[in-house]
Amino acid sequence: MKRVKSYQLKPMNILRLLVLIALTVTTIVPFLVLILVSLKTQNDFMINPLGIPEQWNFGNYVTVFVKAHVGQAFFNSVKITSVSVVLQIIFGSMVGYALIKMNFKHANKFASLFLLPMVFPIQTILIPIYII
Amino acid sequence: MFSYFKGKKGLPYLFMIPALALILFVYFIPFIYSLVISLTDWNGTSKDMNFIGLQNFINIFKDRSLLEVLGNTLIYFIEIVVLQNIFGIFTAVLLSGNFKGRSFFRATLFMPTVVCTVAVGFIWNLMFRPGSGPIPAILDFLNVPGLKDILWLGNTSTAIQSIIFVNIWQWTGWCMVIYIAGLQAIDPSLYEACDIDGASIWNKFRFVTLPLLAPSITINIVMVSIGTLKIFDLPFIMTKGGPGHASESLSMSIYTNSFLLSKMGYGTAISLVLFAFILIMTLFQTKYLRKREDNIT
Repeated sequence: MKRVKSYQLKPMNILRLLVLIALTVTTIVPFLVLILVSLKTQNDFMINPLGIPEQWNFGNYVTVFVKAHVGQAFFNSVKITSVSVVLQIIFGSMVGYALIKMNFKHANKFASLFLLPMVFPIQTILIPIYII
Repeated sequence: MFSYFKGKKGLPYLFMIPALALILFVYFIPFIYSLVISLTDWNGTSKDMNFIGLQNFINIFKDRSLLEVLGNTLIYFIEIVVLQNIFGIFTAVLLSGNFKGRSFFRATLFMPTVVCTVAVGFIWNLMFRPGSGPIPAILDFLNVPGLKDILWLGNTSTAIQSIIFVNIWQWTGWCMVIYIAGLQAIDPSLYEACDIDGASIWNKFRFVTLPLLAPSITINIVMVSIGTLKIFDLPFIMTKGGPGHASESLSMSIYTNSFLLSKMGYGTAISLVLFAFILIMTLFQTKYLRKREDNIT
């Protein structure tokens, strides 16, 4: 039976933990700032940009949904994402299966062919797609 | 016609037809059309397209601001590819031991990747701004003489570095995940053999971890390079090109030229130059990195 090494409290591990905590703080702080700022009114933001808002003002969220039509935008995003994900999975797995499982001579060339579109900057093809 | 596909030989082609048709219509045909556009002086909306040959491409090399933008793009490319991979490997190794909060840390460090780049640019714009941002406030509080009162996003020298910092902040998690997967493929008995021989941590890393991470390094470098050369959202949202053209990337100048200055032919020519650049760099990278992989394994 293999003995699982438990995690020891060596100085190296403490150092590791400190570094990780520093990184995590760097990662989370912007999100915290975002949430705090979103709960402030405009005046509150001018007076006290970094602190905790006096009153938690959810009016901003209401404005977003009513005036900026975020609901419609969100729905559009969901539509685009769902269709493209489904199609990508279907076509991608078909191609993947064809390239790997069925041994045929020109598999590598076709693989490179399918990876080529990733290299295009999208602006190259954006306008022509619109035209076509 | 389907009788041709019935035999074993034709089946792979049948499977590939939908995807092939898709990329043919969505990528290759528009690409050829854009090749044609780049040889004209079209302005994007008018009916006439006059054929002017290679004049657009000649203008690219004469345009001063475009050469500065090219330099910016190279700075983005080199710094982001190198630093992001170093941080990715570093965090992956940090998170490779078996300790209690490991999944929490992995999830948190990966979180910025899933946030929309526009949102990230906006948040960090807020954070760097002197009036409302925590970063100038903290530096003010610490009263470091050299770092006080820097207009992070408004200074020609610091704007591009701030954007690079935010890009690394966002995408290190992605590199980290790929390296974690690569690290788990390394046989632990190799490390035990190193311990028997009495190797230091740095030696273990250099002679066991790094060589065996070669496939992950290849994937990461290629994908990060391609993504970074095309970088658009972050500089556009954070500084819109920076003071002058100081933080503008090539994709941004394609956008500016094609849509804002109505020089569609010129913009398309720039995008083809970018495409050629990415293609050549990817080919070199895959060749060199694959050879390195084969030499190691």
